[in-house]
Amino acid sequence: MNAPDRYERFVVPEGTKKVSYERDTKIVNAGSFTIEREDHTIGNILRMQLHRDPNVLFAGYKLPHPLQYKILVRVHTANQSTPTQAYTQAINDLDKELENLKQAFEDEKIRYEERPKQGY
Amino acid sequence: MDPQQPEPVSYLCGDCGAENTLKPGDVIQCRECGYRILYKKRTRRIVQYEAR
Amino acid sequence: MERAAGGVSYQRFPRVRIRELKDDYAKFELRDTDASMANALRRVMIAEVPTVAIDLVEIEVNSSVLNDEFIAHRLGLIPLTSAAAMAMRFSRDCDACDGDGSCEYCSVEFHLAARATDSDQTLEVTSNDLRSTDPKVCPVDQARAYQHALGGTEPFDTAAAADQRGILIVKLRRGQELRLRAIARKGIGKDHAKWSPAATVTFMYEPEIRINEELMETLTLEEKRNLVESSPTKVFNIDPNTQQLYQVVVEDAEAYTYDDEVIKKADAMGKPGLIEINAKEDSFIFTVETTGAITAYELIMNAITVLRQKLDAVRLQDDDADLGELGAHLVGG
Repeated sequence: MNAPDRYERFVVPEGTKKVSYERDTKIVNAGSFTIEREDHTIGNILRMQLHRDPNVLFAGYKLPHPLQYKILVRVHTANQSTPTQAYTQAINDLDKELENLKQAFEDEKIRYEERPKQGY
Repeated sequence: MDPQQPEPVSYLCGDCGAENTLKPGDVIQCRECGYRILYKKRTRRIVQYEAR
Repeated sequence: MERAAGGVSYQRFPRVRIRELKDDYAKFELRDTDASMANALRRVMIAEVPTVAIDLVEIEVNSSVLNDEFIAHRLGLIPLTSAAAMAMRFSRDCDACDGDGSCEYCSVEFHLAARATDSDQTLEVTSNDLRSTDPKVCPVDQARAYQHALGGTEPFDTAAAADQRGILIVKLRRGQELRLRAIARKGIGKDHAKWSPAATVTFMYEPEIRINEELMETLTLEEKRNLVESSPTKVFNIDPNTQQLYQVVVEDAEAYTYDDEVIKKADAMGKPGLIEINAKEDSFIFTVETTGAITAYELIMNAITVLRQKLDAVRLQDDDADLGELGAHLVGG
């Protein structure tokens, strides 16, 4: 009856920014990204990719409440980098990984279908 | 439509299925078999539903 | 690879090996990536790869035993062929029909009319009675029957081919009638499970099983049998080819459910370290089953595409970066 519409989980309301960054007031090179209408799918891959960056001293994400459709990603980096730089790099790397994976699947499908001819 | 003269509504008998036309004040009873449970007919309008 | 931003790449290069690929089933190995990526793919396949499903039902006549909303709900759950879904528009952001969600870019219309003529036979109304206005989008069984009639090129599952009766919607008694118009729209599983193209998507870590052969040889045949039997799934066996040696071998590593039973058994026999099993943390075995709305291969490929679109959507916009970094440069130098 008063349940929120399901699409509210993935449609960003008008006038709301998808991603916003807020710098930490006390620590240099630290801050958190608020990502609207995203969940563990994005949060966890981003966090794990940030961990691969040695300049990242801390990276974590949380889903503050299951009915608040947003995640917070907190990043702290060394002086050589900045949270926004690390964040952008993480997204670039994940994107390239997936591009690669797509190609790998296409190649593998061809190989799989050729299999009877070459006695796999 | 005149509000003083409401249109008669037709009902279906719960027992024999005969069609009965009733006006306000009529006894609720089938004219064919005397059964006292009558059912309203389905609307002729198209009804819309969300398939969820 | 150096980027304009000055970042160094920490990208991974995953490897894939397909073990089995059928129309609605796939089993493959994914290596050189981590659980977060495997899980993201699984989650996207289940909840974010779009399909087409009936979303609005206009009932003209329904004298069946099922009420209108019950029938509307059943219609919604029928899988429709959705190869075109990726290219379709969501009706909520379709500008061709200003949001009423009934134009050719964002919807497909269906009609159904059935009446049980005066005979004593019950009429079964199935998904085969749905008439689509777009040949690309129809109930999956219809598409299958059609392909079958053409003598389809795809090798057919015998079980699927045997069952061409469609999905039962309602049974009509003599004189009962059902007449309706339905509108199918593009959607995702996150909105309603009827849009999920996935029947099941699972992955497991590939197990690595090591048997301490030296310690194993100290066991009697009876003890070996007990050890093999202690696993609830058939992971181990006594090598049939070396009957004289009675060697314990790994028969099916992937049957292991990480239940620790054999390890506990080895400990209880006073032979700790007899068997060591660990999960390879960068190696996954996926099984993907679809509803038939799209093929398993399409599901995997679309999941990758959707995940990339999601990543692209969470990129920082230029104005975000300015706000954050201007201050950072001042403080950090």
